[in-house]
Amino acid sequence: MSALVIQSLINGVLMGGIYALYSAGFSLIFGVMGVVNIAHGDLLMLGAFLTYWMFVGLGLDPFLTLPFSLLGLFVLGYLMQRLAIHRVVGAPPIMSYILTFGTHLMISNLALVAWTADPRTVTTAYSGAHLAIAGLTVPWVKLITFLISLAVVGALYLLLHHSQMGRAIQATSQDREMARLSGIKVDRVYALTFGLGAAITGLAGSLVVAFRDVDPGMGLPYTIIAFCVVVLGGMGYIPGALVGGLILGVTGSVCTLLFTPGWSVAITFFLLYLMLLLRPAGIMGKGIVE
Amino acid sequence: MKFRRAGIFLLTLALALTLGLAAPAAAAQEFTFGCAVPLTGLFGKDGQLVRDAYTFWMETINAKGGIAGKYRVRIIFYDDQSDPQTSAKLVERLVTQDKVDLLLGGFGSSQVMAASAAAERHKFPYLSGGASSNKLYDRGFKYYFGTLGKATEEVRGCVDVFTAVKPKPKTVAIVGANIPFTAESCKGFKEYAEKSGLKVVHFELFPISLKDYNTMLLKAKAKRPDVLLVGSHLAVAMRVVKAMKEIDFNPKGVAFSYGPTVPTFVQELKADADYVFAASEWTPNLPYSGPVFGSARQFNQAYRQRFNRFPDYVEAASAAAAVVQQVAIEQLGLKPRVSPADRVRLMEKLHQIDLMTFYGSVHFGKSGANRAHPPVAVQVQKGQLVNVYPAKWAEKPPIYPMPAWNKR
Amino acid sequence: MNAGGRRSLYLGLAAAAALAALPAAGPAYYLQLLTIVFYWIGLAACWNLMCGYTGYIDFGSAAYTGIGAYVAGLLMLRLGLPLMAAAPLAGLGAGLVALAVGWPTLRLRGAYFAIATFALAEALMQVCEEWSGLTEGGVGITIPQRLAELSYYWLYLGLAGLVVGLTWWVEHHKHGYGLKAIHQDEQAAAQVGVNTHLVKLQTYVTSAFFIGILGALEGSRLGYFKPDDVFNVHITIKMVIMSLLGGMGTVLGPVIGASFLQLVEDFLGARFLNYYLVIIGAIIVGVIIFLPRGIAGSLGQRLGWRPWRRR
Repeated sequence: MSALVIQSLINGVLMGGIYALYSAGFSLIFGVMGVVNIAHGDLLMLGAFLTYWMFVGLGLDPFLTLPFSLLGLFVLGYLMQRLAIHRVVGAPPIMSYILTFGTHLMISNLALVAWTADPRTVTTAYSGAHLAIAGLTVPWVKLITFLISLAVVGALYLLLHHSQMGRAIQATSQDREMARLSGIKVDRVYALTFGLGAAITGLAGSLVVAFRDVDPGMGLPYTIIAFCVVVLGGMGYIPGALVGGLILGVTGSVCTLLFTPGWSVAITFFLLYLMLLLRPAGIMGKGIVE
Repeated sequence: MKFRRAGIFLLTLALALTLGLAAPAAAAQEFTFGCAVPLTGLFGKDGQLVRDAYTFWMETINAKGGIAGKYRVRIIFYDDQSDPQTSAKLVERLVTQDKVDLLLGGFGSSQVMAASAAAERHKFPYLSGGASSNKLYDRGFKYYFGTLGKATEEVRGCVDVFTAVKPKPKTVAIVGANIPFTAESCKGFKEYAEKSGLKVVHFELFPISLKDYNTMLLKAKAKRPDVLLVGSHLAVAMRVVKAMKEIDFNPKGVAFSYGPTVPTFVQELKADADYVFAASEWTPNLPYSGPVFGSARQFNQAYRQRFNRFPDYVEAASAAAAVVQQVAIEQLGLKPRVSPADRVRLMEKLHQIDLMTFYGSVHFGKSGANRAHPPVAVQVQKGQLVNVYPAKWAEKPPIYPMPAWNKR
Repeated sequence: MNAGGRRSLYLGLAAAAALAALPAAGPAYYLQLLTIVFYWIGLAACWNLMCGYTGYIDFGSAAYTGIGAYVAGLLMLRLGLPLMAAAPLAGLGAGLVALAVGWPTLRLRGAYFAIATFALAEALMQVCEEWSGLTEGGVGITIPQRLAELSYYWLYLGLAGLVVGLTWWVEHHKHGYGLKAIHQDEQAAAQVGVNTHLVKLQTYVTSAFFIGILGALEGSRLGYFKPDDVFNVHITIKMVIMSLLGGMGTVLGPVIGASFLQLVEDFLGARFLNYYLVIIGAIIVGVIIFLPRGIAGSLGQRLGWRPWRRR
């Protein structure tokens, strides 16, 4: 029995890392620009498909495609910000909901026309391979994803707090006008931030396709989970994504074991609700409240 | 200035919308069929399969000059977004606005429930090859017909195949997604497993939105079942296979209610797809043949030529539904601009019809549910779907027990 | 009440009367389409009533369509109640849940309120799916009662009119000033003597009551549903998008937003099968870029239609 509990904890922690990875970009974009990006899951989907097509077309290993999805999605995010999102920066977050919802419809349905609704996944020689210790299994791909997730959240944190660019981003997110007056090119900072957020999300997508099926319509549920994770951890507080992800992942997994998968979802969401009531600035108390 | 920009935007919008105005003109000598299928949303993939099947039927029949050799067929397709409200609305649109002669059925239990209720109100026969929830037949509808068997019976082949293997398994675990077709499949699994003397050691339904399959399957693994039976559709089946490998779950056999028969399953999972069983209503090697498409094998080959892939049994069932309706039209000698009285006659005819087709026998009887087909099971062997049950039609014997993941 | 307010009231009543008389022109598809349009106007107006005026983004409104549909459905199935008795009870049920939920939850703000309400709606959907002894679970329930087609037309028209009228009343009444004060600065509103919590709660419960009734009626109109049909997050998203597109916090915003989206979708869906959702996405992006206050908000402001104006 106890082995089962430990195994479910492992599954939950790995899942939490994955949640954190695909939520970090969402948190960054919200924290800096106050933009709730409903097209977030679609950026994830694009990263996943980039990897998928490079794998199918060129036989490239999914891990080797990571730089391409980072770069590709960075460019896309940069352009998205410049072409559309900049219109709603500074407006109430609700304006960004609807603008990015329109973007979501465009991206996902264009992708549907281009790639059909087939669920796709990357199956390599090492798919499903796992580390086996004392009857416990740790799938390699998920373990690596988890480590990458830790690295990404750590790197983002360092970038924001200990670099020139990070200080510019921080200054801009705190007071746009002051930042502009002190010589920071605010539009450029925003475009860079959005590009960076999109890049991490694309990276997450590239990893997701290695252990789960993806399809053009997959985006919205991922956006919603990312939203939950980020709010739980505290909006705009990057390490919060990791905390929020782990809470959701572990609760989900352990409750699945102890009750049923259905009750586990109910309990997880109810718990999320209670935590928000008790800690309205995220579980760490460090999120933006408004 | 700002006002002008907004004005230009609205003008362009209005212009673009008007350009889209191309009123479809119905030719007198053709039958117009209307069909609302999910092309986006949860069932986007399945809806596309159904659309392909009807398109294939339309092209085949038009190449022969049309229904009864002289009336060409046209189909109006709409996307119901996997949403029942939209599905019902589109059927209303097809009937009252587009004034189609007849309807073709959609996909998915909720959508078909709503759409067929709209069809019933307008007294339009509604034949579906893409829904098999038992609830469809509990309503006492006169105009609803389904070529697929009921969900609980459709999965029978999947259980029966395990009574024919040696050593005979003793225990089964059953898991499935908690949506109508898959939940009812699980009910069917349980019923037939118990009838066949298999002990059900684990039974659990999970939400379709479940993210992590590993822990859910871990519980099944802990019960050490000989066989795992899964109530699934395509994506769920793929997730289960991936998770089984990750947690090193090695039952002696695994079977799915739906999924592996869609070519995408093998294409995406490659060697990991091997050895899984699937229920099927139809396989191309069955000795069935009938009007329009000839034999099951001929249908299979022609379909391959047209779409560059083999058809799945839902596509066969959908095409068969179109064929049966067509044969009934021909037997009654109906002509385009089908009148309300004609549709009543067509409904009565469909209740009586007993027809052999490439898909097998079709006989709806009073309830509208097709006569149960003999249960069939297929298995993925070296990347090919082969019929393994029953023995008289089996192309190859079933491979059982399946090798453990680390021995492949 | 000023003259402009009265004029818009008469205009609205005249429009409603004209729409009510429309079925006399004969049966056709547009009646069916309008039935659905009214349903969505009703839902979007409920959402707008609460969220458009207070600035609280409820991301879990589908909880109340779901509760409404299941309460009414089970009352009809298990107790044999007629739909016209079950629907108001369903509204009451949704209102009671809203009261219990709103009391603690309305203290949250912004995204935290949005996600809290969303989480609760998802949890309720799962409970509904798991508690199969009561609800038949994921296989869904078939509703034995259905009104005549036109009854839904008039009921939805009436309910939509009622909620829009209520919004108009709120706009021109003390209660509305309280709500708008909350939107602008909740603390300041509390200081000048607005019982902010009570005002919010009243509005939230009222809005849930009407959503519940609409959910109950739509459940019977469709004849069959399962938890993820009636608790679907897409219902909430549609309510939000319609309100925003039309103009959040305006009386006519949800009317314009819901009609626009439904009619455009119907029109484009019939002509561009593969691309219509892409085009709708582009239209939404275009509206936000060129008309950032929504259609009603922006056009109203430019054309000087006072009653459409915000604040």
